[in-house]
Amino acid sequence: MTTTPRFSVLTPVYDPAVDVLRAMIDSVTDQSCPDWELILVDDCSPNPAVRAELKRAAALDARIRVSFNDVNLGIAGTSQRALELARGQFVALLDHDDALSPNALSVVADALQPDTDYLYSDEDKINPSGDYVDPFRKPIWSPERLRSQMYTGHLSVLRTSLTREVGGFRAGFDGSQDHDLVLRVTEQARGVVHIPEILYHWRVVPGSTAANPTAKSYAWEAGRKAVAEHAVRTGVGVGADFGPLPGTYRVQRMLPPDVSVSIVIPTRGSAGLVWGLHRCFVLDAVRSALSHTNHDNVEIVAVCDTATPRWVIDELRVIAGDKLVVVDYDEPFNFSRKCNAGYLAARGDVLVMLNDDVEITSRQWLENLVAPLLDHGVGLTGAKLFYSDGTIQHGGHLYDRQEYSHAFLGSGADSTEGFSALFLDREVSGVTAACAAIRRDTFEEVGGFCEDLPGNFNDVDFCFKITASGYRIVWMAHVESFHFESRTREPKVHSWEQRRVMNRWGGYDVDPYLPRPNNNNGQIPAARRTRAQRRRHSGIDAPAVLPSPR
Amino acid sequence: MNRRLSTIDGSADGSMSHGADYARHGPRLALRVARTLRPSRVLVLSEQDSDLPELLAEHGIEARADRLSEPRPADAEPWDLVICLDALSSVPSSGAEDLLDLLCATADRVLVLARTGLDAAATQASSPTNPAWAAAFAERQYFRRTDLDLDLPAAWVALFERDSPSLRDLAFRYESALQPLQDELASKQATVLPHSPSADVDTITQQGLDELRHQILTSRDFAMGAEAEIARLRSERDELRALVSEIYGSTRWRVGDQVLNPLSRIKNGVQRFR
Repeated sequence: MTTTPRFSVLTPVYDPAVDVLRAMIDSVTDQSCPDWELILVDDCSPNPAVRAELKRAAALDARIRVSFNDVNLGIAGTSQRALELARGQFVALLDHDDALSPNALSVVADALQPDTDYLYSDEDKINPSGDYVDPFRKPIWSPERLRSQMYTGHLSVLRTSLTREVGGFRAGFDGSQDHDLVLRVTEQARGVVHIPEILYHWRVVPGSTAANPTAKSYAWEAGRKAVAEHAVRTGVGVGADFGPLPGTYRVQRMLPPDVSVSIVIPTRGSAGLVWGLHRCFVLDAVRSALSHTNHDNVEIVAVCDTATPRWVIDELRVIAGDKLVVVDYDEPFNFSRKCNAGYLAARGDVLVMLNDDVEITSRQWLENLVAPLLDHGVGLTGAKLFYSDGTIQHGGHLYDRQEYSHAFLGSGADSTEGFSALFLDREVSGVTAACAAIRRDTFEEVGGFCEDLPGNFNDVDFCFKITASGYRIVWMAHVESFHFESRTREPKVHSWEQRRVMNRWGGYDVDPYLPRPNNNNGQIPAARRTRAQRRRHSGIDAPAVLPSPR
Repeated sequence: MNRRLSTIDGSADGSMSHGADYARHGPRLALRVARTLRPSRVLVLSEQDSDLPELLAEHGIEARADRLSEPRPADAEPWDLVICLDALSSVPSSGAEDLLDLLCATADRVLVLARTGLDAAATQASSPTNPAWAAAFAERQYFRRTDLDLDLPAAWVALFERDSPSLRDLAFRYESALQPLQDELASKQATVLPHSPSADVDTITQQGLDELRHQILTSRDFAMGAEAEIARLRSERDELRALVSEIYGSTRWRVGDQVLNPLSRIKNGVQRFR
């Protein structure tokens, strides 16, 4: 062992079952990579057997260092004590009742790049029977998701110098001290790496958060406080609220009144039955859009086919008043071209693409959809869309298995699949243009919608262009709308349309933001990498790496 | 007067070819004036000889010609009309006010011809319709008859008449005179911009701008798509090359090649022998 090991594994200890503690220590000593030290700091465990076990372990392996607190410091204080003792270049966080995969540190060592400051891996759980269950295949670096949920969790490895530089673990954040730390480290990190392999096993024991996410409400409050402070520090928001599920959060954002918004709605004034009632879709779309926002600096750009009945346009004027701009469209149906025509007539700083067959249902939808675009790293935002029967129509795009689809299509509104993904604001591969917001300059930069794709997959291509230009796409879980999809046009999908997008961008085997189990390849296809990413990639088949948060 | 009148053309030497032009236009002018105004007595003021009185007399109008520079006999009766041939351009600046006073004292109607040149620029510069001259006449309660088109005999002719028009009358006259010009302008715009005969210039410019913005948009889309497609194809090419290299380098390939392709083995042996 060298005097300065590469990894310092930090484990605060407080009264675990001894056999579990021993299993944890064994999982470290069994590492195929020998370049580590294990720092165990006991926080006044009442069980003397714990102290004995720690001393025994330290006696067996010189790489194990044990410290005993004089007084109980809590998990944050004890973790900080462990950090102070660390000598390694990187610190790896390990709870006293969990376990590392035998090759965990070896895989981490291989994945480290010179500019890597933070690294995290996939994880699963060990149930009381000793089975490995509930694998969490994590997304690549997703800063918006980290604000909504401590998704990086375990295994987390941080550069020691930066961890100390940002102040280490802070008192007052017990239970979410790691979330608070990772938020602060990633604010400064040069590179964040995700390893799409399960390197960490989270033991399910009664009372632990793994078994019951509601078990530690104090941790939830600490997490909310951490996210709120992060939002203020970075300027992405003014605070944070609790999310709808335990352990989830929602950044509070403000949309300044001087941000002008153009809602572009392509329409032909179609009508149909919804919930047994006859409705003209575009009228309800505009009515709901305007009635569910307090933002007044908005215009409605209705791109109307010549077939649009006159009375519909007249009624739109009644609903929208002087906010209405009508663009006559006298060409064959081409959604992309209609959106581009809307852009040409729009005067707003931000464009919101809205299908005419949606009905907005959430308050302040426009503020919540547009405000994230004030972060210039975000290029596009999308919404959660429901079918008329209340099931999910759109939870972000899903690009995997060489296909493009909607994530969570048909799931129930309260589904917690994808580790609560339906309740989290988060980065996604793409969003539907049925309800999406983009800054005008970004729209221009990517060349708008591809007019060679008149009906389908034009939003997929649009999203690929935005990602390739270096922007993130964020799906806003709490911007909700019904989408009576394809009620206003023929729902036919042509194979050539998908082929055309595939020719440009290729496809994913695994979606980088919603990886499904049984495939640990989180690579970004070459065509989707930004120029910087292509340079960085240099043909080496390394784990997916994204730059530090924008 | 607020402004001093100056000689309009600045060429007060009287070097104009009066005779030729009056000879050509005099009869037509006299005929037109007679038909329009039906004057009984006309005084013609000029610096040079003119046969205009004779022409007017042929149409039953009593006329007399006087020289501006010579003392004029007292008038026994008022004149219906005074015709001032090229005097406005020949009189020096200092005498312009006096000339106007004289004209206005002579008759209630004053027909003026500033100069005789047909040169367009010169005509514009010295025309009696010059705003300064018109304003000077107006100060003397003489207003131009905008309802009369005297351009047929000579483009540089204007008739001023004593009048007390209301503001409404003046505005009406002004707009009536302006309307044909606007119509003509619109007609010319329609000729120049044939695609949108009714659109104004701003609209045309906006449409052109939108078309350009649209072209930029679709061009960017095309460029991004092409770049992505090239990157994808290169990536696939590299992957295939790596795969082929891996296959050729594998033991299985080499053994299989030796077993399944003896002919090449013999050929290789012959080559080595050579």
